Amino acid sequence: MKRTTWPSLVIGSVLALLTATAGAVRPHYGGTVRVMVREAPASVEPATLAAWQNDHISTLIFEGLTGFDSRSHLQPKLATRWQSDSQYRHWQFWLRSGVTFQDGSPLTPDALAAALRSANSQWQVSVAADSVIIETDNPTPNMPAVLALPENAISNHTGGKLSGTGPFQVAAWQPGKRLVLSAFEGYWGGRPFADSLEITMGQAWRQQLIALELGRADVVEVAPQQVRRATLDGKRIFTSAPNQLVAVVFARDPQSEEERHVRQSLSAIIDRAAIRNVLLQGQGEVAQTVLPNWMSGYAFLFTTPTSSPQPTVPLSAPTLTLSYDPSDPTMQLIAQRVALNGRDAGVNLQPLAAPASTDARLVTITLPSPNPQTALAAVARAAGLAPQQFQGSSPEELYAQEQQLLQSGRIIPLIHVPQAVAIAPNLNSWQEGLFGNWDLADVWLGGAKP
Amino acid sequence: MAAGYNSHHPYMLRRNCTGLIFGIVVGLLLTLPAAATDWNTPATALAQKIATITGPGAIALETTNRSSLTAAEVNQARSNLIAELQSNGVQVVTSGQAASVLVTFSETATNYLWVAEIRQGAGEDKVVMVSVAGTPAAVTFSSSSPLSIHRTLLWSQDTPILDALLLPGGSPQHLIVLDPEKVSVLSGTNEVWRQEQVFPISHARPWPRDVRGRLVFSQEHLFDAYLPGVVCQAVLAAPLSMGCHEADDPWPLGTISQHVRGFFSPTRNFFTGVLVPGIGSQNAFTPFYAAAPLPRQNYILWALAGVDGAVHMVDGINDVVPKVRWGSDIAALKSDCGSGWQLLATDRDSGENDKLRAYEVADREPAPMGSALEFGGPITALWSKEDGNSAIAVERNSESGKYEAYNLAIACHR
Amino acid sequence: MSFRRKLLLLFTLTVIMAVLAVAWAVSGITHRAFEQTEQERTNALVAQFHREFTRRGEDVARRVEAIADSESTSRMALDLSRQPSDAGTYVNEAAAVAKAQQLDFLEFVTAGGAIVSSAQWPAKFGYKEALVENHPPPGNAFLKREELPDGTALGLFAVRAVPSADKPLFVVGGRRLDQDFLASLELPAGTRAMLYTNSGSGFSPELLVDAAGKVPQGEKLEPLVQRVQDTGAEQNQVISWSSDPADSENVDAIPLKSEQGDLLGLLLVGNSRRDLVAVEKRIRSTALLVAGLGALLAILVSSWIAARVTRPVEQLAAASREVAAGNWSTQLQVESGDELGEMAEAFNRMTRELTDQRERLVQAERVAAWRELARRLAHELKNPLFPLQITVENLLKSRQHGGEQFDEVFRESTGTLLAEIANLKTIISRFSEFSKMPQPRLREMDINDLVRDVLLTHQAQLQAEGRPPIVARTELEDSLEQISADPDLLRRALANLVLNAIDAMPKGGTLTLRTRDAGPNVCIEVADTGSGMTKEECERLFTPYYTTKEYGTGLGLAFVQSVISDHHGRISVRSSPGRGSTFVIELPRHQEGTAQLSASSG
Repeated sequence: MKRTTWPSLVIGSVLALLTATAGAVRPHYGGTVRVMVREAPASVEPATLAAWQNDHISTLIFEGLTGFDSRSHLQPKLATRWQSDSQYRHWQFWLRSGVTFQDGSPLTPDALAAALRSANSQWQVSVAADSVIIETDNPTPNMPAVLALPENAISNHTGGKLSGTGPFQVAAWQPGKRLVLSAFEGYWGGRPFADSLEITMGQAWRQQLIALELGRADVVEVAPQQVRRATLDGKRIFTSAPNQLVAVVFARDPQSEEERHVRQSLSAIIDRAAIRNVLLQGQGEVAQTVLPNWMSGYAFLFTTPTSSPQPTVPLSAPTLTLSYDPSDPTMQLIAQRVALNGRDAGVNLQPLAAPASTDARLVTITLPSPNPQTALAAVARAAGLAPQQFQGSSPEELYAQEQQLLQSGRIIPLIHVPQAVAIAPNLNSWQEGLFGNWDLADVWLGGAKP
Repeated sequence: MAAGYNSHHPYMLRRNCTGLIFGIVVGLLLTLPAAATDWNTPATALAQKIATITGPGAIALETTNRSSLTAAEVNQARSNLIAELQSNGVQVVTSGQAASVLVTFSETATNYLWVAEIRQGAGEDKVVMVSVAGTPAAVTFSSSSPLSIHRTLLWSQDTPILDALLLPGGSPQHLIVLDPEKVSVLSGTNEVWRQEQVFPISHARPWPRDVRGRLVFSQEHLFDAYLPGVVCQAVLAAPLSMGCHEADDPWPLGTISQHVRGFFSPTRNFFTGVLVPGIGSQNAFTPFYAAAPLPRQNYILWALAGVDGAVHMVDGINDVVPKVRWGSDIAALKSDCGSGWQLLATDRDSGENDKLRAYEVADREPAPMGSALEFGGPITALWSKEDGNSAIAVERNSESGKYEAYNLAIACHR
Repeated sequence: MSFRRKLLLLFTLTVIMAVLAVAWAVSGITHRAFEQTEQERTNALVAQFHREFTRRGEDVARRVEAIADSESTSRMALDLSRQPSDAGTYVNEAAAVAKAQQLDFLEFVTAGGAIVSSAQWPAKFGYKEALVENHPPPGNAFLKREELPDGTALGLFAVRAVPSADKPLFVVGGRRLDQDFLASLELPAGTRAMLYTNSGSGFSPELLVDAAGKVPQGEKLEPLVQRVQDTGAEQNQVISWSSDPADSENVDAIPLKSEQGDLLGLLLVGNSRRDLVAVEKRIRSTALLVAGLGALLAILVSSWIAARVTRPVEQLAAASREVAAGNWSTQLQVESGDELGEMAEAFNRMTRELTDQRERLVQAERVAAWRELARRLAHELKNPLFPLQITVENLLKSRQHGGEQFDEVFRESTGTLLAEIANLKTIISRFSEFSKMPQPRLREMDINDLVRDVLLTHQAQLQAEGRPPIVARTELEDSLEQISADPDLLRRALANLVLNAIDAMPKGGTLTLRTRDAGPNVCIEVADTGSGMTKEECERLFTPYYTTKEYGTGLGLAFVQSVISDHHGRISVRSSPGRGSTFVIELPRHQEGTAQLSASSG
């Protein structure tokens, strides 16, 4: 497999700015950074935001015990250190001192334990001095990574007001439309440079780029297929490592050997390179695996050549329905392409825009964590399968679990797609992480005013 | 198995090592040489895993590099592996009826992964893997010009470096490194430093973002550390200690001889513009990020890198704004070239990696001198030292992500 | 029915029939003319449609040409001819260009037939386009069935090659033949275009669309479509969409064929017959209105003409009635010189002639009467004169002869002389009496009493000696009401008739007096069994001074008639010789002015 270009791209473009200072100019405080996003969550609760496919917002308001830095290294956040027993069932996390919620109340082990309990009912969470102890029935070797998931972010409901410990606090909220965040002066990691963030939601990709062009937005999301064009247009584009999986997910296990064969034939016939090169304009990586190679390191083991377009399935095979997200034209195109390829193999696939119950769905699964175990479990959950239980953190176990998931016949990985963002020329210190997370606390507007 | 898949996390400890004090461990880990990756341990582990499957005998070994390892590193790893295999009773042959093993040196974003695919006869391939901590840092520099800026790497670490101070004299030398949470005292010679002491910095309120700090040599008590709202002072006693207190004391701006100090905003990243004792009769200027004194015959010309993005040349009477596009960080350096004092300034339009260039200020208009020195990432701090002969620049290396402190000096090639 | 009405009816019927005939003829002729015009219009429409279709084809070809000639396409062709080339860059090119050029279909296809970019099926990049792959594409616009992700569609296509360094790049563009295409066609009002996408044999209404979408009741077009499918040629049919004749269309089905001659679809040009039917209806209703008005006018004019034509006739009739009523001097005003004028003139001549003749007759009769009167007077007077003369002569003679004889003779002679003088006096008084006829004095009276009274008065004469007896008989109707009349005059008139009857029966006989009810009149009959009269005698009977009797004055019956006439009655006679005579008097029960007379008399 040819080594793809993303690491150099990411390291060359993204990490160059991975610092509080943007190049030569020191950051300015103040101003409002206007952000546009496609999705439109109905609430700013951590649980709601976690269900959001491209959650860039929750980490601004809420933090977990741990977090991933821009290079996908696990970092302490509200916990400064942790330890586990050898079975990975008993975990202890020591709290960072001096952290307060945005409403002014201090972060105590009790408040933290309460938040963790409400997010994970199956955990036994207890408090010990300046730490919390988490006990689980099954080994959870990736507990620190799990705690970095947005759904495990710590929030506080006092007096009906929701507050977190993140660098920004909610100033105004119109559900699904507009969210205004203001800088949290008492943030333990330092007050953000920007005074406020104005996040407009539910904006289509095209609208976002136009808004950026017209100077009505400072940070917009860019569709993978738009990256090439936008880069040629001289936009400031930052691309993450491919952390989204475009895949065909079947609604049920194959009921017969023939059905398994149909799915294997389909998987073999799909011209992933064409989808990547043309429909995604060269963005992302063709995927034979659930986890991208940059996460697992062993994806090359699954590489099989794409079979030539020869019907391998008897034409009597029944028509399968394949649903896709109609709001994303690229997904529609990919679904049509998959159907076209399938036809070459004798598999009748009918793409449907409706989210009705179909035999298969073309989905984009955002890997929720750079931690491979955590990401694999999330994909299994998205495919409707029971998430894997890991006994340890060995690569072989991960490999075996992924192999098992792929052999279930429930999922055909197609492409690993990166997330991209375009920012305004006057926005500085943009640091998009390897995993596509936005650290808007560090960006600053390059105006003349301090 | 010694190496866990995520075992590189420096914050994760097992119960069996709780006896160690966390801070010391962190300090020790941070002082590990950055590029000295150990290829022996993973080779041993992988060789053992391969031998378990193949058993003693002959194998055909093939290696592929899918990582950012250099060919030399791959060769090193390969020979280590062959050696380890042999010690496990596995002979590597070129071909024949032996089992074939394909070892791929792969990597993830956070670690290396060595994968061995073992094919024995008609059976299914077996796969074993070993995770290897660490990512390589390959930083290249290029500089060559008649007037050149010489830089020497003093120290690098994962956490931000605010300033560094090479104590004059002494053998071994002492290097003091300021970061947002502590002051580290290191001893040793160039490039090889050993941590002697660590003084944590206590502060009641959170640091502002883009926290800055300055280390100033003191004849009396070795050093002062200035941070936003906090001043720390070493206490020259045995052993060396340091005390910090909340204070708005102005920070020294130039060299000791110039005595001018500026008030630093305790919640921001810039100087407020108020100077004591002032320049000439004036003591309130535009807020600035950095100030550089350029001694003239009868007065001192100050260059202030203003928060407004402009550079102000002030002498107490006039405020001239030359048409330059400099960054926020400037420093003055004494040299044998030109007027004797040059300004070091970052180029605002330098792109992803910062470039540092020396400027001669004839009157009020700076003229570039020599070629620019390109860094491997953005410069996060630039401070002149008291003697004016050197400056400290801290860059965040784009490749490795580490913070690196350099000693800068100007050399003239006449 | 009057002449005028007959005439009016005749005229009216004639005019109405004529108007109806004209209306029917006009309606029929206009219907045919309109049908013909409509067919010509449909033909013109179809021709226009053909032109429009050709124009669309040219338009597509022009657009494709423009795309092929554009700089960006040339650049693409050049770029793709380089090795290696990145076709992926252009995957969305076709969609964007198609949108700009308003084409529904657009594909950029390499010389090898591989699709670089497809507007209609963007996912089909890299696949082969058979059109370019298999044979050199046609130069003009052509029809083609295009596969789409959700089925197939008909399109009007054109292909152009973009010259490049090595092999050309083909631009395959087209417009979809669908309801939008139909909606974009410029068609006159009342016309619509429908499209049937042929899917092999048979007919499916689902495949039939017009500009508004699926055609309702599309199955009605099945025979037409099938005819075209069978013949492959253009066909025409009038389709009724409902029972309302206005809701019908003249549909012309045009086959759409591929380059290879396959029937890909049908274009159906429907020309609504609503206007035609409306115009025909309007003409018919106008014709009916005009006919109605014409009939009304005809009636008016006919009545005017009839009045004009019949007025002289009516005047003639009225004049005739006048003449009949006795007004012989009636004259008509002659207003025209036509036949009616002549007739009026003739009438006037006739009445003048009648008046003259009557006057002459009256004069003649008067002369005759005077002669008769003179004869009768002479006769009446001669009869007593002769005995007078004899007596006087006898007296003279006796004087001469003497004495005693003389005395006796003298006595006798004077007696005779006196008697004859009395006789003369009687004659003169009778004439005098006739001339002094009084006016009747009416009062209520019983006619039967009168009859009985008259019979009783003349009982002596009936039973007179020296002559054979006459039997008197009465047949009176008891229930007779009283009538108003002058009893004295009636008694004298009845007495006259009774005396005449007695005179008519010198040899005896039966005198019968009858009364009877005769409607509004009362009838009195006096019948005798005498010698009777001839017809001529009967006619002259009531002439004054005419008598059949040897010693009559001829005034009796004239008196009777005068009385009866004064009572507004009538007298007639039935008689024949040898069978006796019967006089019949008819009197009205009530007289005009009875009351007054009664009152004044009473």
